[in-house]
Amino acid sequence: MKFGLLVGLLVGLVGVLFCVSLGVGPAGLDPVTAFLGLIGIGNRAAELVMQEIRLPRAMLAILVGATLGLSGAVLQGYLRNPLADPGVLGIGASASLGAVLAIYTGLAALFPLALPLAAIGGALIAVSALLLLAGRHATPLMLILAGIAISSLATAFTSLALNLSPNPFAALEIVFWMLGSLTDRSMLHVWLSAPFIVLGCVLLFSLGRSLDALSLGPDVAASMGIRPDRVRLVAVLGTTSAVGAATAVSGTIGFVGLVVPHLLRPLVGSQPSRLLPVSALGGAAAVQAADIAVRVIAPGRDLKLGVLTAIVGAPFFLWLILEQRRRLV
Amino acid sequence: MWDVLRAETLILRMGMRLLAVAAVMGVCSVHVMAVPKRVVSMNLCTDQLAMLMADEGQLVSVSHLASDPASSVMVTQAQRYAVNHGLAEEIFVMAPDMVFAGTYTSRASVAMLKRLGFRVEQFEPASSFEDIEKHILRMGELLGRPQRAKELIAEFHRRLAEARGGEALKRPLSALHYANSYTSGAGTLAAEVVDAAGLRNLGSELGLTGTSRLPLETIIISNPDIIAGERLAGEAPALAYETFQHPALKAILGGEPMTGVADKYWVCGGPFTAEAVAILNAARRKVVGQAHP
Amino acid sequence: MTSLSVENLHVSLGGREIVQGVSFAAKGGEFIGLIGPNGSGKTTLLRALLGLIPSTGSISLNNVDLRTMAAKQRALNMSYVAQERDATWPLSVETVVSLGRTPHIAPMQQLKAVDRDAVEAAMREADVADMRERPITELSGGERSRVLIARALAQASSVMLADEPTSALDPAHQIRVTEIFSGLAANGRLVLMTCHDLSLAARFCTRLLLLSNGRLEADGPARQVLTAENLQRVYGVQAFFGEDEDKLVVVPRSATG
Repeated sequence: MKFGLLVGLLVGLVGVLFCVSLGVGPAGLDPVTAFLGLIGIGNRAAELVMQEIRLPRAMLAILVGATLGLSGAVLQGYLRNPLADPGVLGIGASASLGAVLAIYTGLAALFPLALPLAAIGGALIAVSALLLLAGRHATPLMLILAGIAISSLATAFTSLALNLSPNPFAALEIVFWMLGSLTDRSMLHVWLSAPFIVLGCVLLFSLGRSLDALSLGPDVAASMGIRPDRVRLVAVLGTTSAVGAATAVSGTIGFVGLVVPHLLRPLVGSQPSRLLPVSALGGAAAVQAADIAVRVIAPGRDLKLGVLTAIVGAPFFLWLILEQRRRLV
Repeated sequence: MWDVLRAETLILRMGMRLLAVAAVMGVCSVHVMAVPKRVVSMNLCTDQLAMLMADEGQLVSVSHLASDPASSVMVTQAQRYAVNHGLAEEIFVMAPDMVFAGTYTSRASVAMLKRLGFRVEQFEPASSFEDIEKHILRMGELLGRPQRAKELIAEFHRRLAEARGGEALKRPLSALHYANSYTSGAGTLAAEVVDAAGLRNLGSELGLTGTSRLPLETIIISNPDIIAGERLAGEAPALAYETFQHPALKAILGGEPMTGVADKYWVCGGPFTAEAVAILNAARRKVVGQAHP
Repeated sequence: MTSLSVENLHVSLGGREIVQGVSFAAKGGEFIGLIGPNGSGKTTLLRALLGLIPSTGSISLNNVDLRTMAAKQRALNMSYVAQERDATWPLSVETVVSLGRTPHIAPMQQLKAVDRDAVEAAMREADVADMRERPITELSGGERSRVLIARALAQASSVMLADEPTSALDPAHQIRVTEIFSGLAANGRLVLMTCHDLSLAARFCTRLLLLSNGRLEADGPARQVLTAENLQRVYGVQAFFGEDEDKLVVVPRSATG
């Protein structure tokens, strides 16, 4: 009952933020014009602004945010590690590398699906390397060190690829790939990413009960009929599909997957399966809020989303590390 | 003190070569007004003005951008000169008696060259037609070619007069849309070009100054008659160009391409800037013609 | 009636043969104590029976080969109380016990009334119903051990394997936990428990299996297994043997190397 209420509240929050997001923009449309434009009976310009610019932006904020929140919750549950998150583990940076290679070589222009697929490929390599480097029974510290190594390497290659591009703008776009943005994304980006994000999220949601069982350790989970190899496969495919596709269209947005599950965990009695839907909703709300904030705080400056999420998330991460240490001592 | 030490190190490294250069410079510092014989330009804008005005054999080297078709209108002429990349060492060994640079380009190199005693003449970016004339005149004086400068200014005036949209009663609205959704606001050369073509500039009307961001959303809602900018075909891809592919932009253009004004006509001011005026004026005539057949 | 039959079981881990040809048969109602020195292969044997690690030889439950059984089917027949009692998240006691119903719930379904009843019964049986709201991370070792046993009880399987459920518990908790298993066996289940406390095993278990270097050294009632000779050979100890209420008491007193 309490869980239902929490889900209801979060759905409401995402809904409100979605509407606010649709209402915010440099064109300064009044709510009535904006609404009429959205449903396609206003003037042509308002219609274009609402349907082709703001709607895809708000939709992507939900898709990307839900992906980050959900994958963070799954990774924390699967690795039994509260410091896990697609950003910390270098999955986002590797997906960025894949996307960068697809875009700046011109492949994505010839074959648009190459963009999400390359990003998913990058994410897949990162997750495989992570499991190889740190293994299933790694301590939180080992996982994070492995994540830092993967992240640094992927970022270096991204930077190299952008520097080698003959396009003078490319080198500056490292900022987008490292800090993320939803500015002037279009419906094309929604169609390119949504199928992979939805597929990934469905896979991740299916892990709820397995993650609950895993909270008592892999052996006990297996004794309850959970198949560890299957859980790993689904977790890897789900995370890479959703995070890869999201990163391909938004760049890497840090800390959402880390902070959101952690904040919501006490509200669901720490149960991993219940954490999944609320983290997806919480992530969607967080990215929506950040994307509204960048437009309100610094209109016309194209502030990157990752700037805000890091300003909130990085101190939180430090606090979390201190908490971990306190628990170990 | 530190600078002196660094300069001395370099002197030691460069060895005898410097003595020869120092001798030349010694002569220069006595006869300041002497006509330079070995000129090097390290900035795209001074490259083009120098190529337009320098006497045979007077100009030794231009920057690599001068042979980039996206930025330079004088690609063919640039083939005749040595290429430099704005690096102090590179220019040092060319032993020029005059160096042209922009005020914002290669600051470290310019400072180094000045410390080594080279005569560096810096030019601000042109932000108006008046700037273009001033730059041409100054360049003419420095190169000892004042007559050539006067000819070029006359040519600029003539081409501008042909290209101008005149004081038309109807001045359509034009939005300049560059990569990364940037535009030119008031006080820029591009704004004056737009004005000369008989158009109103959206960036200026929205109170923007200099080169700044103009979100696609604002362009759409302002419903301009003309959207001008250019994405060169064949240019390497970058996110900066995605704005040109945006469905909202395509929709408001109604399937037509943007009015293409190549960067090379107005990134630097010169007589060729009149070409940008002509292109925009042609677009204006088309719009006005459609409105009043 | 439940029957478990193990024949010639071998398990190798990291190139080392940990279990070397163990055979035994057991049936419902038995409370078997699996004893042996550290490293004798007790935990490995339990994990192999559960199918957590690969093994050779035959394991059959009610005459069905356990290895051909689907993971879920095996979980319905066999439950496990691991030695490790660490909990990752501060889940409530009731939530932890409910996890025992995992193999009973179809995908995308919630707990049904029958599941809730089983959870209640398990909590009562392990005497943890009073602490149902408390986070498991805040419980003492003995309480936590009982909660994890309740979790396995809720799985409602006919065979229960427990790995040192009494380790690191005070005497009162050791006895309470062992009594729970004893009661399960009395109700017809087959319980296999590893244990280091020989007197505790002798008092409660109906049968002892003595494991040494991966081999079964002795199999039978306490008095038959816990002989001075066996203890000397397998553990390298001399012990005091006594009697209490008709039960054997064994207190190791000197290591003989």
